[in-house]
Amino acid sequence: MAATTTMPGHISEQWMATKEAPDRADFDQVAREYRPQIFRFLLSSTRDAELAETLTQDCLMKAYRNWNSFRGDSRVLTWLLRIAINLQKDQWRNRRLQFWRQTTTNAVDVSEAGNWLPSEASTPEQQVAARQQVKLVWQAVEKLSGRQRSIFLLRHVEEMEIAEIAAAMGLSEGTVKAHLSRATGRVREELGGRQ
Amino acid sequence: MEQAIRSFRQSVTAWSEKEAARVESGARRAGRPTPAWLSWWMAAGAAGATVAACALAALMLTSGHKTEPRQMAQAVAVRQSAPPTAEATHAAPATTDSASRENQPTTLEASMAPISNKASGDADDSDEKLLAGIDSDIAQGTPKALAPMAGWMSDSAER
Repeated sequence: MAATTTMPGHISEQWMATKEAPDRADFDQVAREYRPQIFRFLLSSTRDAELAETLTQDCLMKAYRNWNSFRGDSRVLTWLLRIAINLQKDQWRNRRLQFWRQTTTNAVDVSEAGNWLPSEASTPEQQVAARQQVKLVWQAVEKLSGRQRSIFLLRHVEEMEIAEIAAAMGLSEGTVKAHLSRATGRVREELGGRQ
Repeated sequence: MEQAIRSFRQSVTAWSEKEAARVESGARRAGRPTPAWLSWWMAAGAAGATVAACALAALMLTSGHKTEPRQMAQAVAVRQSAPPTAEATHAAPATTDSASRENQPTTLEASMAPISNKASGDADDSDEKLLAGIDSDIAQGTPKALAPMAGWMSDSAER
């Protein structure tokens, strides 16, 4: 699993093995280690950096408050992402209510979100093609439902396993697979139709 | 498809890193000494401090509401009860028990009344003595406070 390769220290794996909740003082280390991943997931979900930052803070605060309730049944990242997903659900609900109050959002456009690309592509033509592909994926992701988007992002950006996504989302593995299949099909359609 | 997903992942990661760096630099520019990952801790501390301040304010307000009217009532009762007590004992002793009980101050007020009367009496006496002293000084033409200056003026006039 690629997600584990991005986690230095693997403190969560140690805690899983001991099945003991870590000390409260260790939360600093947890926040330092997992914050970037939580922020990345929330940023890709909302496309709003400020909102993602706020939700990341809320997530870590909530995790800190409930730290003693974590018993190591899942990885720390899975537990944190579950909190983040619930916060995001609340935020979606609030945004739907705020829509009627003409509240605007700071989310960037999908075309702007697609501009971020590391300069790995060797030639300018490859860079342009890669940027175009990224924009198409963003457009497809934009059209997905909230649940499908989360599952797609957890699988293809955070590279989590189906079982972990199911644990984080509070769904069965079968449901996750079905949503992921539909989401991937939509993205494939978008890419196939435009290419 | 796989290439597109890979590019998408790289794009999201690059964007996220850029935004995280921007947030961190913004926090540093705002003068926050701690790193950005610790800001949750600061937020928790601020929330705790706010709750404590609110609790303290609520406590102060509640205790203020409780004590202030009581103190005011005591002061009013003392002021009202002090002069008539002497007169009431001589002039109107024929009131009923219940009426006298209503008019009588409480134990605390009763114990405070003579003290406050004595204090106000002492203050009046000292004021009268001071005024009398001033009057006598003025009558003598050279108030004691101005005596050195009066002497200096008379010396300079003689010269």
